[in-house]
Amino acid sequence: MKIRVPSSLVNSADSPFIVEAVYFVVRALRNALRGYPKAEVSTEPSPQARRLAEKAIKEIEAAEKKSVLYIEDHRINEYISKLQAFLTNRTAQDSNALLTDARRILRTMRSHGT
Amino acid sequence: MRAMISRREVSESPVLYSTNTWIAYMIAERFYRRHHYVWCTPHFDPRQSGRDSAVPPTSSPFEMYRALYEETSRGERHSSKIAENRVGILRGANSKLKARVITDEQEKQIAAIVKAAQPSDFRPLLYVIPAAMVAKRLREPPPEDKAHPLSAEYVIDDLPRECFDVIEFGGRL
Repeated sequence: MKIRVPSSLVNSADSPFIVEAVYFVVRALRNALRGYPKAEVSTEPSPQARRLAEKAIKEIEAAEKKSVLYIEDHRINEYISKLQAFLTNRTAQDSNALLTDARRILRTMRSHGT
Repeated sequence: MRAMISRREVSESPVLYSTNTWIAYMIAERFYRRHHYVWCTPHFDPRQSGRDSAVPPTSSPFEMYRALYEETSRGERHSSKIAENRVGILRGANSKLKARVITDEQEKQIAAIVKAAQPSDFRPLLYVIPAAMVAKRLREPPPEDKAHPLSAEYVIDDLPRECFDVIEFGGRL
């Protein structure tokens, strides 16, 4: 079964809470991967972001027909990668000027080390 | 929730450890006035701490360093650890924008940097933090975010660069 970004997130791509929501979905998935006893959405985000994140987790569980705690590691990894690509494409604009500048900053950072 | 570590606990755990990525470190240095967001614990490698530590090995700074080092040295483009870190950096930039630490333009710049970054830019760094210097800055994460209900894990939202040392030791663990 193909892994998809939950539609609750796709449909809220322009929401001011989307970055926070995706982050907390990834965190819940990561906690499942690390074998935490629970893999719930944190109480830390704003209520709007939390609601969105919880909806997305429920969608993932419905698609997988099991709790996130029991989803196979390789599928959790795939969900995390898909969510990251979704968020990166949403936040990083396809501007050549921005990307050229980003590569220049990265080169400067690399030459400075830590 | 502030943790307010007691003097006894600080003396028992003089040092806190945190594993982060090089790119996250550099972004905080450049854009966040050298203030860093860290999760930390007094136990570098809980396997050495016996019953003193409730931090599961998968969440220890040692294990996180080792796993990140392996994935970044292999240059894995689809590493989920790198993906997690990219999402974490984007969330950090979004929080800093909301807190007016950075501008809208800088948030876009950080997103472009995260997009352009190579796997090797996500190599691990170990932060060594003297506990006494940061005791008042520690907060306990909510229970659902902890690896174990009893594990000693703390968050520092705004850790100034002068309060910690950075060590990069590659694969020599």
